[in-house]
Amino acid sequence: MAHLRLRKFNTRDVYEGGRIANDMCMVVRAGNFIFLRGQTGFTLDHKFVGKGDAAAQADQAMKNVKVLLDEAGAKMEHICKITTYITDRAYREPVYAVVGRHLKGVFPCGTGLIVNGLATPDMLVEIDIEAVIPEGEASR
Amino acid sequence: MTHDRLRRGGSPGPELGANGCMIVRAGDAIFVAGQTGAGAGMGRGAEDAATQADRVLLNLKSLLEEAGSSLGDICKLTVYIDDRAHRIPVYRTIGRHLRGVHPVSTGLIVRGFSRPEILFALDIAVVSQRGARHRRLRKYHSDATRYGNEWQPLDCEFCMAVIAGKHVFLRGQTGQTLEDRLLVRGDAHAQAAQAMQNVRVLLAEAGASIADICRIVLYVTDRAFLVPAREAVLEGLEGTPCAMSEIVVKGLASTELLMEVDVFAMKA
Repeated sequence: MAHLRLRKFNTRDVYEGGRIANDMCMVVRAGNFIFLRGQTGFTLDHKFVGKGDAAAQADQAMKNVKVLLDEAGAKMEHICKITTYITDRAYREPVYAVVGRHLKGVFPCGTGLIVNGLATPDMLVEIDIEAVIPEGEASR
Repeated sequence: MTHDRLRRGGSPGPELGANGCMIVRAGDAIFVAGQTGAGAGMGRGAEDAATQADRVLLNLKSLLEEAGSSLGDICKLTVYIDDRAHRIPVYRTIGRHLRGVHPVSTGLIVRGFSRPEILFALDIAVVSQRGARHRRLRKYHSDATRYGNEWQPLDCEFCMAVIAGKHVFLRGQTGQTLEDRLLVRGDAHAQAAQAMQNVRVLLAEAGASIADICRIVLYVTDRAFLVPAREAVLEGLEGTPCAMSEIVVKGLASTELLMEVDVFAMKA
């Protein structure tokens, strides 16, 4: 069966200055595996929240994660791995407090990196999520 | 059935502290927390980087064994260092521990980690080999290949693609051709176009196609390269909508490489 690709959007509507109009998507479900687009302070309607506030951006990102997983037939409890990119070590504490609150009781593995930047200068945090729907729980 | 989550919380804990764990076993797929090996009194020299890498690989060996797996199940490495100077000591240590495994690899220089004394972190993607062994295509030894225009004595055994059941993992692709030539310098769009050309060839050799790609991570070494590199990646995706992340890093395997793209595919 072909992979499920949810919440497609056209790059022309999201990126400034690009000349290419292509589709991307927010979620790919391949069998039981769920791949999410890196989540940031952008809402799922492409509005940016939390300018200058890493915790608020992380909160928005995690709210998106919950919605996207749900739409793909998965739950927060299915998250296996979270990679957290921040642009300054000072954001670690506020971001991890927010992420930890959203992941209460899930216990995923994590990787934390400080990088030079994200897609736009306003983005202070990006969260990548990998989830797997356990065998026998697959519901669509 | 729920996933097995081993070594939850604890101190010194995994990346997410009380909310995290070290290993998640989800069927045949094994997810591992990013591993670091900094200890008290360590500095920033080559020996310190090698010591950190040595600890990481020893820890991974025991963590994987706890999860009923082994280093031989590793499909992909993502190697993070915070200074290009750590590259050779870190890779030589990795190469020694993973002799004969031939994973695919992506190497990134980032700004830093959770604590300043950490010089290196390693992410691994692992799939248990039950019955059929993983297929590893286009195996190579690092010292017989070029990184940009340089020869680097990393002494690692890698490959270009790993097929693990339905999963296909590729080496992070750059502007270098599959014949190891960097034909385009200073042009992020052209380098990304070459990378996507390589992706198409490697996926075909792995029995997959562009339409099987699920996730893309695009790394660039300067934000100015993001738009041209992204456009070439999107052109290369031939209309397949993927879940994409974009990260600006401090550097890649050589200073001539302006972008690298990681591709995760699953056969439908």
